[in-house]
Amino acid sequence: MTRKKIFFLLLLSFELAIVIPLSIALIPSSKSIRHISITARKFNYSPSKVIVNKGDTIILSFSSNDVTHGFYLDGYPIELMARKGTSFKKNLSVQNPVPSAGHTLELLDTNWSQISSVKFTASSSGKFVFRCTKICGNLHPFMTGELIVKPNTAYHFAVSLSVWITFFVLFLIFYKKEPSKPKFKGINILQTFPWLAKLIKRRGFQFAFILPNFLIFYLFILSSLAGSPVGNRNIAIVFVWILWWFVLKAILVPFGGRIWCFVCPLPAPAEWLSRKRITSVKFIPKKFRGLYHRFTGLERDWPKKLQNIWLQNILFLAMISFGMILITRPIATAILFLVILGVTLLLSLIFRQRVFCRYLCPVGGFLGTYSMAAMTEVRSIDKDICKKHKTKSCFSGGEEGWACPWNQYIGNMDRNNDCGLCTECIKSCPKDNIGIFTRPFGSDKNIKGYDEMYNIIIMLVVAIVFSAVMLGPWGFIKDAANVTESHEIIPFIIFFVIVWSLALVIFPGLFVLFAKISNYFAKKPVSDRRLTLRLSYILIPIGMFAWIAFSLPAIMINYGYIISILSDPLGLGWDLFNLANVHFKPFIPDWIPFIQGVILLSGLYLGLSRGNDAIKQMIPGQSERCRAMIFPSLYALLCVNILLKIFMG
Amino acid sequence: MYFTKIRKDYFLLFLIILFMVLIPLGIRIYDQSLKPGNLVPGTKEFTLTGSADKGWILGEVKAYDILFFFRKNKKKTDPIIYVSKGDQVVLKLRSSDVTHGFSMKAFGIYITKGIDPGQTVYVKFTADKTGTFMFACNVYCGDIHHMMHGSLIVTE
Repeated sequence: MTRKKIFFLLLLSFELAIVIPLSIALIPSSKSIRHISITARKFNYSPSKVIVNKGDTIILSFSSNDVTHGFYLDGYPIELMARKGTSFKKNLSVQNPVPSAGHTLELLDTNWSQISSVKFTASSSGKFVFRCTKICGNLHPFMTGELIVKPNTAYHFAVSLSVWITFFVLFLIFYKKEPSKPKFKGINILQTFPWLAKLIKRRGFQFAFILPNFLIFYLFILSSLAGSPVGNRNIAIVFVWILWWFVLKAILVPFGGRIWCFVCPLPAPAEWLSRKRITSVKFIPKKFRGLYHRFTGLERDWPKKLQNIWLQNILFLAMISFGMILITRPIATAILFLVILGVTLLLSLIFRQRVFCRYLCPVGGFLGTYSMAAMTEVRSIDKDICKKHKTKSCFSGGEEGWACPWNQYIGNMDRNNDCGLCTECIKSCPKDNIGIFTRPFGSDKNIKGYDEMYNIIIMLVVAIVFSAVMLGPWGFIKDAANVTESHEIIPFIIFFVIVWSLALVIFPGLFVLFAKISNYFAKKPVSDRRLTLRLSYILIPIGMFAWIAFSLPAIMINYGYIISILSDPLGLGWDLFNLANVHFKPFIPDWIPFIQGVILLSGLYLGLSRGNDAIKQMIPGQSERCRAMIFPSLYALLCVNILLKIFMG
Repeated sequence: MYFTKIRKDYFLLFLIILFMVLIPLGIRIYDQSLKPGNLVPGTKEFTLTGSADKGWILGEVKAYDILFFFRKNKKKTDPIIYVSKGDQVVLKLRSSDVTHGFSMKAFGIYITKGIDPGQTVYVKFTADKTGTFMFACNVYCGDIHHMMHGSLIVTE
């Protein structure tokens, strides 16, 4: 095929991907008057999914079955409130009524008027979420319903584009001449900014970041113990599970890999105890079991059999099974933090170095696998210097720096998984042979074992499950996940079994099957195991972007909580910056499904293209590689479409 | 050289512990005496927190209290506030879960705007008559809403 033909074919298929959803949008539909009455109860609306046609006139009545609930419809200027027996509409002409000062008798608020129903026209099409605005209990932030105004053109576009992207990438793999381009040369940040190198080499560098973070987390623990029992009025919940989670997934991991481990305050006291030092180095001239240091306690090494991330996978799944409770109850977050603190302190007395972070930390597993795609790395500059250097201070410790707490030898380290970016090796290396390099997204390709493949798939499944539970309109799933309040034991057990079997059996099983077929298609150039592991790399960018798409709305909708909690960090009724009672107002909420769709589609593209790079060495032939990619691509397409359905459909 | 480094570590440890003590202390001091809108001398202030499970609770509800809500027997105890005639009374109304309301007929107080979690609604009145007066929640807040009462006893 000539270039022209290829270009023509791609253009044609792209047009097809655009025209099909457009033509669905042009099918005329009849306009009618719809009477819809929505009843709210803890923590869902019924009906929770309302489907109307564009142009329909909607007469909406809203009532509450239990406590005071709100109704905020994204994209339409409608805000309602219902108490048992009556419902109110917010008068939007009265903007921000002046709050009456304290110590006065407050009577009826003037900006709400009693109504029986509201009338509006469904003028724009798409998916619009309605959400509760009055704090109605633990799961209040997840109390949502959906208004779908057909035709849902944005969703149709996303689906057809997802198919087109898959086709496009496979097509490129097959036809595009792959130039033997020179390897991307990373920039050594330490060389470009010598002042930074100087700063990093100071012993107190890491501590300077940990100390403020440690005090912030100390405040979070205090607040989650003695602060407000209402989740979205407690700084620990709002800052950890809304802000931190988003920043971790969307900024820290994609750009900095395990950079969180560098500042993480939770294992810090254990490390100080183990080293009996805070910033300085305790160097002994004679090696003790491989290291030039002595630590507190028994100084054992982690058992060989457990030197993988299986425990982390299981602990993460266990944590996630109670995720709904964890992220809505301050006390649960307090218990989690205190348990982590306790376990790290205990382990520091038995083992040396950071065994908790590497083998037990629930989030440590995915921080490792996802940091393979991260855009920075700490590596040695010249491997030969490392080889010739006999002392290997980076691994066994030097006078200026501790031995690698993550037990890595940077001289042959070729992936980010176990590098905690603690910068000890930069300090300890006497030859100044270590740099921090920038690199393109998705550079480390080597997935070493099934534990890591499982971690990648578990992360993707949990992203899907969380999206369905927390962002979806299904109240019965929320009740099942919220077992300590709903006391529905059997639905919780069903939920639990479904989550674990999806994450450990169904999704991985399907993937292994597809990878097997893939290897058969590619005429078996390598063993099934090697190809399966490599192919699972596709799911790293997809999973990462799925998590970004999942956690972004939490920020866009609840940023008001972040602002108000800064004024009242402990829920004691303070008002430090006069912003404690900021009105709940989501930021462009009607754009959320669209933004989520774009994020997912970019994840799909990155996943497939980086996955292709990952198996390039194993399958050099382009046509074989294209055939090998067909089934894993379909798997990726399936996962992305499940998420698209939840987010946009 | 070695000793100066060690001394620095001790200093940092001291700094950490100092901060860990100062933070709760600072919070306490700010909350009790520096915060604007604090108690005016000569008035009697009471905090009433609404709970959908326990009714009115005298004082703040903390996050850890939730752990004990399960254990305590379901029977709720109505709070009683004692004041003397002529006292300036300030009620600091809070909510620990859902939107509550407050009404005390005898003094003509009806908070219908609602007491949302995280907000504080102040009620100020003079206890100008003696007797026992009931107060209640006037926004439906759950199964025990109709029993969510408390009493104010004004003595001579």
